Amino acid sequence: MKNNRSSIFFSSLTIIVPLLVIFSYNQLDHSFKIAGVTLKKLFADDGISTNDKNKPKKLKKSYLAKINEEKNQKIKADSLQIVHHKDSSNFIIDTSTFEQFVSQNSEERVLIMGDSECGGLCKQLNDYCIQNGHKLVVSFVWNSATIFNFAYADTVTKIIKKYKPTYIFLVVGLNELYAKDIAKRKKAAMTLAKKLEGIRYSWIGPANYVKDYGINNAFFTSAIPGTFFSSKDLNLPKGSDNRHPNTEGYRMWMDTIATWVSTSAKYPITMNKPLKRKQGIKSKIISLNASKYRGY
Amino acid sequence: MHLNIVAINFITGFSWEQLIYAASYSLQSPWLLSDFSFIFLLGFFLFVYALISKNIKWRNIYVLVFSLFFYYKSSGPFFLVFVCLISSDFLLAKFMDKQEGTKKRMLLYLSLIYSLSFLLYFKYSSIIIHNSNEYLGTNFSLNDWFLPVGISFYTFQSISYLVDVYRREVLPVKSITDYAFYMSFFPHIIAGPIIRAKDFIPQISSPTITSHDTNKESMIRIALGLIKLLLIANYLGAYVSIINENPLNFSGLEHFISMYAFSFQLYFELSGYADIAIGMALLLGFRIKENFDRPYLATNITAFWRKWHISISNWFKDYIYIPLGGNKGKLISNYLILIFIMFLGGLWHGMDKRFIILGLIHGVALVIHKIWMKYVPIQPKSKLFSVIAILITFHFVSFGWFFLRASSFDYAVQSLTLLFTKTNLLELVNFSMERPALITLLIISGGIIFMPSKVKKYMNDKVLQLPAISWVFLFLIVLQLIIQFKLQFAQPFIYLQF
Repeated sequence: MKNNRSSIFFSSLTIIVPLLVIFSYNQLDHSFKIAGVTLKKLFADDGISTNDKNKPKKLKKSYLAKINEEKNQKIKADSLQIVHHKDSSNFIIDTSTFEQFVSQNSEERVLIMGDSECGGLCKQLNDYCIQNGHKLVVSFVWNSATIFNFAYADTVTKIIKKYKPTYIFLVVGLNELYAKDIAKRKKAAMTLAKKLEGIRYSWIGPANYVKDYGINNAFFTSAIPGTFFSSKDLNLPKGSDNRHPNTEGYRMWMDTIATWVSTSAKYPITMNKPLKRKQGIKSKIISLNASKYRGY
Repeated sequence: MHLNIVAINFITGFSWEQLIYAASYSLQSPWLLSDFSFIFLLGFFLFVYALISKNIKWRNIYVLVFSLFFYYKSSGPFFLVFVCLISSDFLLAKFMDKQEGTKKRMLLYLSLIYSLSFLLYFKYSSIIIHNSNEYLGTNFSLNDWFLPVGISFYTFQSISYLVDVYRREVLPVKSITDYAFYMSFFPHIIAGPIIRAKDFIPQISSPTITSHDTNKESMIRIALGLIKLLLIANYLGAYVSIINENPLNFSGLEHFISMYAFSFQLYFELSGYADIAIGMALLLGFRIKENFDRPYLATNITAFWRKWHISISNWFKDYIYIPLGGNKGKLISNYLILIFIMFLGGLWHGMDKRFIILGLIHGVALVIHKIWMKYVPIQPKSKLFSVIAILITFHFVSFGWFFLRASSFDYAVQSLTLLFTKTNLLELVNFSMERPALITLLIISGGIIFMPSKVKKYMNDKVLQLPAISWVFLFLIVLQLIIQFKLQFAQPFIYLQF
């Protein structure tokens, strides 16, 4: 047997041509169907777009200020109706230094952290950040992690120290729904809240795909009022694994969160709906797997 | 995922900024052989390779540079650890070969300690510090290092080379380029197979041998590997990880099904990656030995370990089992050595009780099989006996995998307890209606794994007979199928961190 150069050339083309077709198809605006089944695109769910020319322009600061002013008025009205719960001292931390209304500093440095659901939300949040002049500085996706991982590992502190966020979204994972050791988890949540070192934050409750043994209620009644967004009444379309929302589900979820954060949250920030979606995250995504790295 | 910009650039227009960005290492998406952006780049790499493949020197340099770039994209800064190990191995082996007697032996020990130190540091330092802080009250800071990708495999390969040189089974490689080529050859660097110097180094200085037949064979292996890894293993893995997260919330039947799902996932993932590695090496005209030989068809546990991850099993046999005495000497010491080897194998997976238990279970099973063979030397040859023996071996191995897949020892025990005490097979009808895709995939997976050799060969021959042009369409169909069924959250490659 000898070296058959043409066979290598042919193999090269056998690899390049199909991938070129797939990458080209990804760039098309429309999708094809075969026997009623839509042919998916390679990056369809990844929010990847390299086409910068379509990136929406940032809103002018004067416009943002106007929106902020309107939001402040509404939140002042809403804040009168906030009900404080009896055991809310559980993981309350000193909030005296926090801005109570919509931040006048429209350019927040945003950090989102949580389990695998955070991996889907961060892409949607990124679109919101771009639209509203914030910067998603880092997304910390700790797959299969629970509140214990976030609370007892020093990873969160290191990330905060490195990326210096001014606003944090804490996504409470689906795993917490199974929890029956509610007291232990409340304690862990308190530890985590203390680690945030005075940075404004919001908890995002898990999607309601499995039976809740009480974690939503525990967070709702224990967190500082207005810092916990409950997702239990949302009907979010499921992904193929039946455990996470699909792209549409994440989009709907983030839209609802955004409305809440900008109007009803204790620590609100401007979150207008993005004019363009799937802009692609340019910032760091730290991805860990709790089954391989527990952290404490 | 930003790595795919390499490919997108090709379509949307060139930008230096994006190209540099794409060529840099990304922690969240290290390169694997199965990445579409890597495969795309491989296509162009092959094009140039075809042009220079007749000039051995330039061919080797070209492959070496590409391999090192691939490793950089997989491991980032740990690339330097790898380069350091290659350089020191090369020099130490050369120096050792010139020595005799005690000096030579001391040099071997020194070089082995040096090679192993990287693996031991990265793999076990965190757990040692953690235990020290917890039990001795120290306050050392934990490092957040990820394990450098492929460190186990290239450390084992480095040790095999040093020992082979010491034993004079191979001569030390004359050129550092050749040695770096052998160590870094991109198809096998991430997850094996571990290749031996005596099998591979002669190929480095030989002319490239390829043909349309070998290239067809390569493409089949690559396509099959991608299907196994990205389609089947990934889908099954998603179900397994759901169960793993909270075992107590699932029924015995769900644990029972997840047992099959994980056994198939592990096999498809490892053998799929090996298929891609062997296929890619063959495309370049290099032969790598098979790493899996239909292990779930083994009729006993000894045969299973001869068929499962063959290169690692052989490595443990040649470099630990035999030097410790192997099957020479007293029977009892042979058995203890066997259990010790499997214990080490467990420890290699991590310093965790569940891995150690897994190793010990297999060690004891190997000893029991040896005793059985000693006292019942004549084995029945009937097909029925073989089928029963296969089923027993397969299920024994699958029960053991619970300790590999669970995130803790307690979870593994909980899963096994639920499986043995709460399984109600009548629930299978409802389960099938709820998860028809999973059940279908399990049946297909079982069909592929237990498919008779004749059927497999027949199908292989039929595909090989297809005209050359149809290969482009076939590959396109395979890639689109993977995209069509891919899950939003890809399962991490199980052995990437081993």
